[in-house]
Amino acid sequence: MPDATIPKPQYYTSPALTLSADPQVLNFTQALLEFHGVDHRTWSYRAAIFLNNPKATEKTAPNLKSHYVGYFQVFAHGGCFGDMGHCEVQAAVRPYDSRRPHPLLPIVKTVDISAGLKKLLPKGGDFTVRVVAQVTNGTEMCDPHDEFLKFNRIRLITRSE
Amino acid sequence: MASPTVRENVATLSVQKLAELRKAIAGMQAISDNRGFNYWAGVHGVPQWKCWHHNVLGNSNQHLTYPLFLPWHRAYLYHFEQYLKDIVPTSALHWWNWETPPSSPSKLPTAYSAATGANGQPNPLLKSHINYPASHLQRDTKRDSGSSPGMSLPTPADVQNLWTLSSFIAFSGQLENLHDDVHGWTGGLHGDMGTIAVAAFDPIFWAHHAMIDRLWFIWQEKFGQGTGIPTHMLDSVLDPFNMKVSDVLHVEALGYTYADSSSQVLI
Repeated sequence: MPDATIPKPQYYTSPALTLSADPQVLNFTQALLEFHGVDHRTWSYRAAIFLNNPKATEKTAPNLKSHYVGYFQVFAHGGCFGDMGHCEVQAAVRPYDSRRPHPLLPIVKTVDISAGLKKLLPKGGDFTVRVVAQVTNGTEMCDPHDEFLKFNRIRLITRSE
Repeated sequence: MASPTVRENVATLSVQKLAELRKAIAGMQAISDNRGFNYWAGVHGVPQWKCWHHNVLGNSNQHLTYPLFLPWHRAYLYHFEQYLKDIVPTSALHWWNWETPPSSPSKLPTAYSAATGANGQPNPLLKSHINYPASHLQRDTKRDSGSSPGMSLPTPADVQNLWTLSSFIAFSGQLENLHDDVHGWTGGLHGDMGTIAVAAFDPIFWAHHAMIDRLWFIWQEKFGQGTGIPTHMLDSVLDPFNMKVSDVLHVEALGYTYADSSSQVLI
């Protein structure tokens, strides 16, 4: 696969999420950022996560100074090798259909941002999530124009033990 | 009772064990039916797509976790190893310890990167031929290790962090993250290890997954073999194998174990 077919990085900046200023919440021992509905049909990619840095790009240094808090890696399917309809996920399962779920159901990726969140938002507050996604691999079946960075929800979960 | 197969670190394999592995892999690569390498590699992605990866969500937006990643791949390796043994009974799947300190360059084990083996023949661990013309795949596997932006192999600290995770769900998820990184680094931008479709056709896939299975084995030794597996998972069938999750919890019952360590010196 020549370099020309590798898609350029793709970006996303979220609306504001909130870390409560409640001292009990701020006392968390673990903070997880969950990305729901992540598409994994085509290109494999690495998604770098920045908080409150909507201008971050693939050239931004991945350190706390740039508000980098972690990454997730998508080990994706590499495109469709089947006939028409092979990679279409059925919206609903018929009664008595006990086959395993479609392997292309959207997935959940989780990033532990505990250390970064503690340092960047010690008093809580609103923050945006910037995702900088770079393709790490694909196959001859991947479309260079594909929108590979797709998900439908970001969720912050804090825990204290 | 027969002694269990002992899987070892590929970096310190004896000349004989490496030769056995290469002979068995080459033998499977030469078989085009359902005992062969092409068939078994094709169970993972193209064309059968049977593997389990990732967590998915249900309609209620609750985690419908399907953490069959570890049990499914254990059954997969078990079956593959049996076919290796059909060719060379003393052969085994050995592990690639990909832990790499941040100060060291990431690299592939020599056993898998050398062009030839000790006998001067082409190294069957270097590549294989993908033969699924109906899926538009008829070519040799390739690697482009280290070329993907930002990718490196997991560090010893990343592995140490696994031993802090007493929950099977958390452990499985974090180990799968490291697994994804190794696939990404090894395949690189243009290699085959980086996508589910064709990863298993690269012979190093099996050494990578032996490492994943070994780390689960170590975790089980630490936290208990049945510990933490959600009860509802135990009867889950590991399609297409004749096994359930409960059948793969004890590696000794599957006839193998992992060496604690091994070393050798050339004299």
